[in-house]
Amino acid sequence: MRVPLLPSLFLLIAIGLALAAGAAAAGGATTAAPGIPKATVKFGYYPCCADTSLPVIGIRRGFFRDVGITISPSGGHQFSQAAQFLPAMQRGDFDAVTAFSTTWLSTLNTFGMNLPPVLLYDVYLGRDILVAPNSPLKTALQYMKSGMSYRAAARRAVAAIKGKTIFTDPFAGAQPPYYDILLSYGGLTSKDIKFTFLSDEKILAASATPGRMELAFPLAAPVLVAMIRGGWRPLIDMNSILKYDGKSPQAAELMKETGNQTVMMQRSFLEQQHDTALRFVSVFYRSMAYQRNPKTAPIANKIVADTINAAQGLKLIPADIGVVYSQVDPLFPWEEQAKTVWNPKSPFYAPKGYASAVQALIANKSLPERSYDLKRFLAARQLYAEMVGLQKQAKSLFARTAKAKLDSRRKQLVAQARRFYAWYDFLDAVRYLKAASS
Amino acid sequence: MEVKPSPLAPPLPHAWRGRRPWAALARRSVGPVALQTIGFAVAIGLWEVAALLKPATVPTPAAVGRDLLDNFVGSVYLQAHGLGGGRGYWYDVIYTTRNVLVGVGLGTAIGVALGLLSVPVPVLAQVLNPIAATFGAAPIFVAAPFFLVWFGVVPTAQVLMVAFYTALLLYIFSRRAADNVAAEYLESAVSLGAKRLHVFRWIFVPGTVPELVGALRIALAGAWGLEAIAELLGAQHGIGFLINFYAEVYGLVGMTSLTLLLGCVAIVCDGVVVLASRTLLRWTASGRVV
Amino acid sequence: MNRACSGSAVELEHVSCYFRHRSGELVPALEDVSFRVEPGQFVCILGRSGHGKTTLLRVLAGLQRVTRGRALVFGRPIAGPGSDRPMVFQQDTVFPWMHVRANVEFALRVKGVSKRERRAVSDRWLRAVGLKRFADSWPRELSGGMRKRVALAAVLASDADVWLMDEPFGSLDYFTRRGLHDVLLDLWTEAEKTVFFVTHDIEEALILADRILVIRWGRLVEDLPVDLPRPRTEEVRATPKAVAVSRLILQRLGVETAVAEPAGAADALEV
Repeated sequence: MRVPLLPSLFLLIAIGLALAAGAAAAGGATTAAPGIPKATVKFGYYPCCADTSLPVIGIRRGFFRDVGITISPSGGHQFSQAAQFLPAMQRGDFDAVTAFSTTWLSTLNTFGMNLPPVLLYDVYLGRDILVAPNSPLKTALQYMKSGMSYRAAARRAVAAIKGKTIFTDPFAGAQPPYYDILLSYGGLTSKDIKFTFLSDEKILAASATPGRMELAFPLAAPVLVAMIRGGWRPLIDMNSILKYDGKSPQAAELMKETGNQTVMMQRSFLEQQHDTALRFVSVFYRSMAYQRNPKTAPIANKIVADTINAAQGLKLIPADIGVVYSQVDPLFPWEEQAKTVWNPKSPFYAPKGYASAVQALIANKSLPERSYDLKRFLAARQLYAEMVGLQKQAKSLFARTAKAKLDSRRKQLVAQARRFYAWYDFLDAVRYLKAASS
Repeated sequence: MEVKPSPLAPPLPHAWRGRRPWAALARRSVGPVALQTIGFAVAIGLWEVAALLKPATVPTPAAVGRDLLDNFVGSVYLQAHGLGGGRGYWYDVIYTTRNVLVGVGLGTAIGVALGLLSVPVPVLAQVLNPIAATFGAAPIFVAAPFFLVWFGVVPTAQVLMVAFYTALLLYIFSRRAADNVAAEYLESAVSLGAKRLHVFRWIFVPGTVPELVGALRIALAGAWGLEAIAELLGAQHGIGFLINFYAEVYGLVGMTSLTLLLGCVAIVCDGVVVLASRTLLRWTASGRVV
Repeated sequence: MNRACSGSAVELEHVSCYFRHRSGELVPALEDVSFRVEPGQFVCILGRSGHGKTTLLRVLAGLQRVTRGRALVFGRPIAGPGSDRPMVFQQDTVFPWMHVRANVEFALRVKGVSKRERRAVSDRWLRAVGLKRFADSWPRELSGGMRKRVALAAVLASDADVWLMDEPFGSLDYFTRRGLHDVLLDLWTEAEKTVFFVTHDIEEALILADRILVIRWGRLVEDLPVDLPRPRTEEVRATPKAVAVSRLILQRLGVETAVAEPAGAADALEV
């Protein structure tokens, strides 16, 4: 029996078309880009310092935009006073701000637990008592040059300022009295010194007039660096203590009570928009890397210097910001997080530092005596661990896709994943890699 | 007005017939002091409710009371934060009070003298009135940074700012009070042979006291707030300085304690003025200020 | 009853006072007023409200400048207020911030009289007005009538030769006024001073005055001696002579008197 040709041909064509369609459909489903969901983050910062102003690098260079985040208001809200961020966050006006850790620990018994730090990205080592260029007082380092040990040199230098006046920002005292630790080298306490309280910018302005002040203890790193550039000398400074007298009780005390610059976030935002929070934090790592890269550091430093100068009326140069980020306010980029804030053996180990800070607040009656769930509070630790996990996952997926034969579309996805990976956006790197390898 | 009871209402006890029973009860059994105490207790109660509803932004009365007890005489907290050398709130209360009283005293003397003298000496009025009008129109708080720039962070800046504000106010009130002295008194005095100096000393000065005491109370009330603001800008001590410090660390309890302290001191000082004015004004019908 | 003294106490020669209205028009308050008063006379200035009585008194007090003419007190031109012509005002001008005694002593204190002397004088006049036991009281503790007596005592204590009174009892009730009339007349009789008393009350003028100056529209329309026996009781004031005086005053003030003159009234007035 003869089979009709035409019906057979039609059948073959139909089957062929169906297979092709099926293949096309299947191919489209596995190689489509996952995309970056758009999100808006209400963000504010106080542009006093290099550390608080770090995210401006990300804003100006479009790093937030690259991960689908729109900052609201545009450019980020600039607080005009240091104390504004906390009530603003308490009211829910912002999703995230940059904030120095010690400034809101005393609210742990009320609303502070709902404003966890999601990233710890520096440590402040700028506790210096500065002496005026024309002052006859000698610094500890100057005494050291004559052959003294650091402790002896520091004792000579500090003892000489008994009864003198130190100009300081009263907010500097809102954190533990670091100057008591420095003064102890000379056998002094804050009762042996007259303090004149002035805000940092007024201290900087007054320091330019010879004879106006002899000793100063500024709060913020840019002011410290600008004064040093203006010829002021550290009579005694935290960096030198850590370097030359690292095993001393003063060094231990300083490290115990020092604080970090953090990204503070609404807990509700962290929980409900978790992926956005991860992307948001990744931009900070990318900004730090951008600043650390010698090729791009001048651009980054200039962005931060211009931001602070415009807001505070200072005259910082990009090199000042470089000094701040490397010495006074050293950053903890991604690569250094594991050996610093999350390393139990490191003096910068955050859980221990925060526990000590809370104990100190209880002792001076800033907090009622009871236990505080610091593990829950330090959301930065969970977030860091999550990002480490995502990074490992991304590496594993990169290895797998390297061995696989990929079409151009998947290769594109892998290339995009690499970009996200380079940007520390491990979440999207994994998503794109999964899309490429599925 | 006698209130007739409804025919349907049960008969009232004899003593209450024709009167509102609750008013009678209040009059008879609850004295003014008791009523004030009740009012105070109601205020505390409302505060407690607010603190329960908004614990993050409203400290409880108990917390504020504890803060005052812990920190008024000596303060571990302030010392730990490098402030006050271990002294408690009392030191800053005295600092603020001293600045206010000195400033108000100085301003009152200058303002009253110029205001009263400007009436018999019109040239003085012609010179001073435009200045008073200009500076009186601008809110005095905007002058605070200028005083800081001109005088620095010493108490002089705060005292002078309070004195300036008080002098302005008292000048204006003095002129008004002098204008309000009835012309008949002046004519009567001159018809009895009084010369200009007699009229100033024995007519203008005593005749303006009721209004001036009122003005003094107004100046004093404003001076507390002005002093607190001046301290925000560069003082080394004072209630305003401490409130600003607490604001930096979201120390609502401390802020509330200090605000209450400031209020209490202001009330006490005003009370002293009222008591003193009763002696000065014992010749008036009510003995009260105008 | 006239007091025998040489020289006039007060003399006005063609005195005029004009005020400029805000429309620019000159309004005459007094026009061409002339009279001479002997020392010791009790003169009432009588007229309707707003016709210039107070202006005339203020001219005498030195509180109002004359536009034209001359005003003299004991031969000296009146250049301003002076303690030789103290005034009792219509309003309550007892200084409320001074005790009663201090009010009475005011003129003496201005002159620099010693405290002891002042006290003696104030005691005397407070006794004379019946307020000795209120010497240390505040004026607010006194009634209106009592405060008027304090004002009187203050003027008396100044020992001035001329007393000026601008409707001093106008705000008081009839009975208080009658009592104060007696007090004033007793004090005037004792002190023998020249008194100018402004009133719009004819009966009051009849009780008090030796002479009545009738002012109408700023002009002196009648200078009327009142030759009636003192005290001017109701019976004296009901005599035809007194009634004639009243009628003449009313006529001069432009008030029609419909009642027929009593018999002999026309002869009673010696004009």
